Amino acid sequence: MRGTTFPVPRLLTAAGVVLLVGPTLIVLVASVSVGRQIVFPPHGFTLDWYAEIVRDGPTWSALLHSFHVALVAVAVGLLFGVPAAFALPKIGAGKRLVVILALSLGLSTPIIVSAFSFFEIFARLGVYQHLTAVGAAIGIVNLPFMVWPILSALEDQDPELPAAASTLGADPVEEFLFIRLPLMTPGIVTGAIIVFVLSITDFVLSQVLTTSANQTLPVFIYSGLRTSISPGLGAASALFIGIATLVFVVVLRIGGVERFLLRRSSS
Amino acid sequence: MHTSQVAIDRPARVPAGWRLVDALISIRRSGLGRGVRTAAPALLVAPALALVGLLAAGIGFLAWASLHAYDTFLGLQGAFGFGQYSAIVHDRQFQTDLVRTVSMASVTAAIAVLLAIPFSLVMARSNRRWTRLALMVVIFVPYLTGDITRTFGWLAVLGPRGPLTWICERIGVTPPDVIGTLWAIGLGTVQVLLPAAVVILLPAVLRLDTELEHAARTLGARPSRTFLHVILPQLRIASFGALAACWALAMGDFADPQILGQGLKDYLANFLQNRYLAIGNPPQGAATGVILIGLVTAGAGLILVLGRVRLRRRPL
Repeated sequence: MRGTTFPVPRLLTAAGVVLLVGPTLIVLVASVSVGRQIVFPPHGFTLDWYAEIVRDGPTWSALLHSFHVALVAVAVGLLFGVPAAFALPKIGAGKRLVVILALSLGLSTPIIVSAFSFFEIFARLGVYQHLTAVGAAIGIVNLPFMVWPILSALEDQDPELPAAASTLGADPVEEFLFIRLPLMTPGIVTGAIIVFVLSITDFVLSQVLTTSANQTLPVFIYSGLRTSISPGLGAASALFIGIATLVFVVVLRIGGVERFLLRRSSS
Repeated sequence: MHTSQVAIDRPARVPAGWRLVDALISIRRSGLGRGVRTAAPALLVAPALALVGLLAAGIGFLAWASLHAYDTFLGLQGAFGFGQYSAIVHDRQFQTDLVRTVSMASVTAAIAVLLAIPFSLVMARSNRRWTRLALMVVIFVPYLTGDITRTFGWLAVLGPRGPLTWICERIGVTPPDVIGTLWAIGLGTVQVLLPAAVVILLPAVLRLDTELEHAARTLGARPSRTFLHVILPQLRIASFGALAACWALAMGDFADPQILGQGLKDYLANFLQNRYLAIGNPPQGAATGVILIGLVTAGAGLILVLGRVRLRRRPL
């Protein structure tokens, strides 16, 4: 069926759109405006605040810390999440559900509780306040976002392919390396990208697990927010909008998201 | 394709890549390979489970700490007991924050689901691909930009010299001081809940039986009636699922009360952190965490059960 005729849903959808992107757009506009305070309507145009990110020592090192944390989280996802995702379909349905639920522990636990759980365990392991440990914590919490895209890529695969490959004389090893792995790659890349973005923007875990010496960019912005809402901080936040947009374009190009969200289960 | 029969007659110069493939194939064919093959799924899943076990262990330590007395001055763990829980339940601050968290979570989750139903309907049914794509991009904006950019945006919108003040001055109304109130927190919370609700509702919206809507209209039902009596009942289970997820997310919300509430209207999550760090009584923070997990699990479970129970009583 095409098009609902009553306008109420459209109005509510428009309200939803404003709610979802309105503040983000304001951040973007504010980040290129002149003046030490965010003023509406904005006046002037400058990219100074972006240059400031590179010039300002603390902002720059906070950004580097964020990259450190995000790369560790992606590595955790690739090393631990990918093999698990690949093995999941081969496990019996009952056990599979248990494993999936277990892997989603970080997502089902309130994030602040996870943060202090890591706080406790890291203190005991003697790695508390290490950036790599923070990255691992974020990687564990975001593990499901690595596993889901791969599972959906596996679901989309033609079940006849392995049979076709072995009919043509492929050894299972070759079949895995040259057929299943390439087909899984978009799922792996999508998962890695999503984990990267979620990790580089992480706030709650980082603000518990880092110190003022190794704080990540979101925590750095947060400490700045307490004193003033300046365009400089806006530029730093807008950086995340840039990263998110870039990533979204890539993920959309690789495909999957649209198909995954808008797939019709029955014809 | 290569098989090992071919490999026997292969010329001396074989690319290194293929040698590796052949080596892997011979390993697979050996006894070792067979053993690995049967154990493979377990071996592949085990590292991930062990890693998540780290978090589980952390939660365990948290629960253990909450069951002990604590000397704030010496920073020493004392005797085993439920003292922390009884202390916290009688704590004024805890009671206020608990009531605030539960009521705000319920209201924001309900609003998010009510907004998400028309949103996902419009998204799924738009016949322009660009509308669908745009709405999809919009959904992911709050998640991918993160808590800080999101709340920073709200501070800029609602702040003293932002658009809200500007609009109010145009109309001739005194600009309200929204930051630090439940209104600001509510706006921020609904913004994160809405995408979650839409993602959960979408599959159900795509499964809607459009024949039923046609039938209702043929029989003369107005669109609002069709929506209430034909579309909504089909979305009941998904709506309750979305409600449960949103409620759980809102209950654990930390960033919105912390930044938009400016510490004036704390949720349990903020209370937990304050006890842990600022007030220096980690076991009370830990106890709050355990209570929070219990509340979230029980509440979300209850909402899911309610969704099912009503369906069974009135089958469609």
